[in-house]
Parts: sequence; structure tokens; C-alpha cells
Amino acid sequence: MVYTLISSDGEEFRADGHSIKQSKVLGLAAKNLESADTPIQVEKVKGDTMRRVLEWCENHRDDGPYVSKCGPALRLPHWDFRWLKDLDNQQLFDLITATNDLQMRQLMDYSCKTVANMAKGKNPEQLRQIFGIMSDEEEAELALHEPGPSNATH
Amino acid sequence: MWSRNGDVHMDDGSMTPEDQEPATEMELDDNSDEGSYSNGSTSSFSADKLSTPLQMKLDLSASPTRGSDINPRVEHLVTLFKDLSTAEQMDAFTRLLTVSDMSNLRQLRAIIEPHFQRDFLSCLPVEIGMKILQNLHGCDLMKVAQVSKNWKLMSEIDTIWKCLSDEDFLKHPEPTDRTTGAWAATAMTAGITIPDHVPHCALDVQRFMKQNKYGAIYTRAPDKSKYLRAEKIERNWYLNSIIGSAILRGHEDHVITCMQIHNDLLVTGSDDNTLKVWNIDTGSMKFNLSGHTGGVWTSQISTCGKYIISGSTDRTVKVWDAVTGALLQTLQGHTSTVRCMAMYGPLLVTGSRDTTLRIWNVEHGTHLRTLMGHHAAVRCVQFDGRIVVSGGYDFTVKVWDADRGLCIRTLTGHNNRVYSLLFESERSIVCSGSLDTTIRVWDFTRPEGQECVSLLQGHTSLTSGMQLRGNILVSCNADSHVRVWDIRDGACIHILTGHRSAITSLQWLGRTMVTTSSDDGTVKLWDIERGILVRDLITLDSGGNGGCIWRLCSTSTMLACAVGSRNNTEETKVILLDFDAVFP
Repeated sequence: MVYTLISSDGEEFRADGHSIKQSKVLGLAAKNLESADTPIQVEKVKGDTMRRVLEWCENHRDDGPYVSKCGPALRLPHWDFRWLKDLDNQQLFDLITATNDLQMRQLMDYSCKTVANMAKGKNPEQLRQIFGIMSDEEEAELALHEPGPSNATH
Repeated sequence: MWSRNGDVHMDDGSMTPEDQEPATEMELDDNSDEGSYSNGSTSSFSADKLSTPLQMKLDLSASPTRGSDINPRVEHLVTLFKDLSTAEQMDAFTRLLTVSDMSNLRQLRAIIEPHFQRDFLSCLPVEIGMKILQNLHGCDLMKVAQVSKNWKLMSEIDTIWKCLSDEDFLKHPEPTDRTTGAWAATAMTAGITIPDHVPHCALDVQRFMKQNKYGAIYTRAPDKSKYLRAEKIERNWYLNSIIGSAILRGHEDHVITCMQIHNDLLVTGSDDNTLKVWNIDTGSMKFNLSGHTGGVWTSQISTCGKYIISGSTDRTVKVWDAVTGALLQTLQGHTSTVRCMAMYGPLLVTGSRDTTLRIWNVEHGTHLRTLMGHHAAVRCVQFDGRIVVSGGYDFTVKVWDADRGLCIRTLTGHNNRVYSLLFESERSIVCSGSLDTTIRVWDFTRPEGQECVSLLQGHTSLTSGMQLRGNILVSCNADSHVRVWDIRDGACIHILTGHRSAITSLQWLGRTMVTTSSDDGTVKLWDIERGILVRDLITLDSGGNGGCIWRLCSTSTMLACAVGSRNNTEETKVILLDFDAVFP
């Protein structure tokens, strides 16, 4: 059974039932379709992210049942490790949000672990750099110099 | 192992390498004046949570040339640029970058980079943020807490600490006082040197700080507080100044032959025919157990804490009430000194110079079985409730089925008396130390005759103590060395030298710390992972002249050392050291 999925920005995708069953939400939506031709609207997920989600699903279509883990007990398979490594932070975060919306436990665990690995063994300054965070001092500095509504320059 | 590269390069290849030579001038107006935020950044403010103030600061969409300084040449360029297709724009970018000044490139990078960094803890729902943090170890969580106020809040969500895989930190007992009784006077006295003890003048402050046992972090995030406390306790052992000590005096002029700890109770047995029961926290004696008519050479405290058991040269075993000090039972049967014992629940196994072992129920005071088979004195015994393992002066180790009272294996191989045993029930592993200087590792589930897994050779005298964790065995020997072994292949990983005389006992604490006591009058702390001496905890002035430390006993926050001499140069006593910490 092949289904049509439409992302939030209007992109169309084709995926078969075996793939999309990785997502509880999509699996359920597919079951509740009036006809197999009706497209599934995936409102919360953009096209780029949708593409990646389906790529992952395709790769994992033959997986057995998954038991959720976290921490050191969780080991990423080789393919997933490389695949996730190639994403930049924005793509990774979009992916995590999508796995949350689409209820995809396995991919969510793997993605979260990938983000955690970026933070491992880093000191606070390095963490700020990687994740683009201002230290509290910098933020306070900025607040002092920020133009508020009362001091617009034009 | 899976760590992602922490660098934040742009991977799309459009950034030139650092060694690109600066090309001919193409005048790009340098408008990236980072100090000026006055270009009406209200237009760039978006409700999207992803827009941190950083976004506002470095917004690409805000025109840097607003106002009266429009540069016509730049405007023209930008107009032409807008007319290009996306692919052509990319081409143009590439060409522009190759002819750009290094300082411009750096500024460009500073503008673009933040767009590829995302503060995941602020951007994602809290539950997902937690899920990410649950993959981290305690040490990383501590770093996370220092990044920003927001991250600190996240890191203190206690559920995350609950999930930490390093669970040992949950196992420490409640924080203690240890400021009264013998603790008040400390052990800093003539003849005893505790090199890293806090000086007398600092003691009041330390004691005051101990009073607040549950600090602010405990109120906000108990598990994080537990983690921090465990870290502090580890540092207390390893390098901090020692904040508390005490001397428990007793058994004058006699030898302390055995020592046991159970929660707050310390029991010492002596060849003065008595046992003394001490309260650790208050540094005071609870009872004196007298009744034996011969020296006490072995003792046990039941796991439930209700009974204290003693074995003596008077051939009897006595069962005492740990709460009241009353004598409950006297178990008769052995025909010579009761030399060793082991307990499981209410069951007691005793080994004697009369070559037998006996199994008793201490609650009922009944004798259940006699295990016969050794040809000489039984010197050491271990028991897991079903299996008894005994070592004797007949050079053998015997494995017995306690229920049926039968010997199921006799492990032969040693060439001299067996003095010490270690039994790991889960893997049916036995380690035996012998006067033949070797340690043998046995697995008695193997076929008969083939039980010996490894032969640990290297020591040159009698092994006095052994402890096993996983496949690592630590042994201490009368040859004054500590050895660290891998029991699978018998390899000696470390030899730790430093003691000047026979080592009498060892205690393995935490993951990598071992303390040893010696006839040289010192107690030393070692790191067995790095294979080094960390520090001396106690030094007796009479060390080398007769003063020696006979035995160590420890809890995760306290070390007890039985001290004395055989020539009256050192009065018999127990020195206690405190390594406790409160919940921050």
C-alpha cells in the first residue's frame, strides 16, 4: 500500500505502509483514511524534514520491535550514527521535533542521543559555542545596550 | 566514542580555507559594525523561540546601510545579485568569497555561524530537553549547569539525576555527626601523625558546617544533591584535608584480633578474652562483652544487625545481643580453638583447629551439621547460604553443600597452608591465599581436577588480604607489596610498593581507591587504576619500632584502624577517620 503524504509547505511524498508504520501518528492516519488515494496532511512537518524522516523509515522498514532506552545502554547503529552526524543543528532539531509530533520513539531516542553526544566532555564555554548560547554576563550586557521601545532611533 | 565533532565549521565548502591569499581589492563596504544595534532591529524580531537575542544582534535581513549613507555601487551590485537565479547566486558567492579579504571572511563567518547553532534546551519542549540530558553522565550535567541560567534550571530537574547510570552515589548512608565523644578530642595526639588532618583551629568551622545536613540543592533537586555529595566524599578520601578523627581506647596491652562494622556499630575482639562494642557516631563504648575464658580470635555481626558472634580459644562460640549486650547462647561442640566463621542470615559456619566445620542456627542456638574432611586445622571459611568454602592447614580448599553436609569438591594445588579465602557466589569463584606465596583462582563448576582457573604468582610471602571486583583482584602480602591482578589470565597489572613491612589488611573503596594497613605503622591510600600511592593517612611514630596497624575496616565514609604493638611501644586502640560530607 502506497500512501501520499503532504508536508506543511505543500511538498508531496510517496511512501509505503511498511515504512510509515514507524510513526504511530502516520500509521494511525493511514488506517483511518477513507480511501488509499486520499493524501495524508502532515501539518507540523516541513518538506525537508519530511524527506529525512521518510529516508530513515525506509532504512528501518525491516526492523524488529524497538525497546526504548537512553543513556549508555543506547547504542546507535552505524548507519544512523553517520546519517545523524551529517545533519546541522537546525536540521537535527527540526528532526527531533518531528519525531515528537509523529511519535517515532526510535528515531527520537537516536536523535536525542546524538545531541547529547555533542555535549559530552565539553566545558561550559565550549557548550556555549556549540549551541550558540550567550553566557549570563553577555546577556546582561546586551540587555543594557538593547534599544527598547522607548529609545528607537528613527 | 560516538562524540560528534564539536567544531562549528560550515561544511558546505563555500568558506575558503584560512591560508587563502588575500586577493585584489574589491571594495566591499565594511558595514558589520558589531557595536551598533541601532538599525531598527524591531523588524527582525520574530515570535519564533529560535530567535534568541543573538538573532537580533546579527540579523541578516536588517540592512546595514539604512539612512543617508546609501552606497550606489553597492546598491547596484545587490540589485544585479537579486536578479540571479539561486544557482547563479551561489556561483557569485563562491567567486566573491575567493576574492575577499580575510577579515571580511571572519566577520561573515561570525554573522552566519549563529544561524547554525541552536540552543536545544530553549528550543525544544522540556520533556525532550530532559530526554537529551538523560544521556549524559553526572560530570557532564555539572558542566551543563554552568552554561547559563536557563540550562542550570534544566539541569536541576531531578528526574534526570534519577536516571543516571552511575548509581553508586545513591548508596551512601545518611550524613553523620561524629563530633562528640572520642571525635571531640580527635586522634591528633603524641605519637600519631595524620598528615592531612585539618588543624585544630579549623575544627570548629568544620563541625559547624556539618550541622546543616540537607542544604539548598537538596531542597531543589535531591538526586543532584546526592550526586554532589558522593563526589565530595570521594574527594574527601582522595585529597581533601581530613576533617575528623577519633581514638577508641581498649584491650590495653593486648592484640585486637578481629574487627567488624555494621551500620553504626564497631566490634573489636581481642586476646584479652573480651569483645568491645562501640558506637561510631558518638565515639563511645557501648558494651564490653565478657564471658569467654580464652582469647577471641574471630567474630561476626549478623546482617540483620541483631547478633554479635564470637569464637574463642576456649572452644566455644558465643552469641550476644547487639542491642543489649546480653549473652544469648553459648554454642559448644568444637574440641579446639574456633578460628574462623562466616554467616548467612541466621546460619553460622565455624571453622576450628579441630579440623571440622560446624553449621549452627544462632537464633535457636542449635547445631545443624558437622563438616568433616580436612586433615588439619581449618583456617578460613566463606558461606553464601548454600555453599561453604573452607581453607585449611592441610593445603586444601574444600567446597561443601551446606544442606546435605557433604564435601562436593576438594581443590588441591597449593604447596603449603591456606590462610585466606575469597568466595564470589554468583560466578562460583574462589580465590585462596597460601603460605606457598601464591594465590589460586578456582571455578568449582568446572570438571573435577580442572577447577583452577589461574595461578597468581609474584608475591614472596603470605597473602593477608584479597578483594575482588569483576575480574580485578587486589591482594596485600607480608612481602609489603600490593598487587593488582586480572584473574582471567593471571597477569599482574600493578605492583604497589611503599610499605616497609608486612601489610596486614586492605580495603577497596569506591572504584579505584584501596587503603592498606601495615606492620610498619602506617595506613596508606592507593589509586589502583593509575597504580600509584596517593597519600599516607596515618603514621605511627612507633612504626618500625613495634607500633603496627593490625587491621582495617571501612564504610563508604569512615575508616577504622586497629592499632597496637607487641612490645608495649604503642597502646592498643582503634583510630577512626571521618570522610563524610553533607548534602549540599
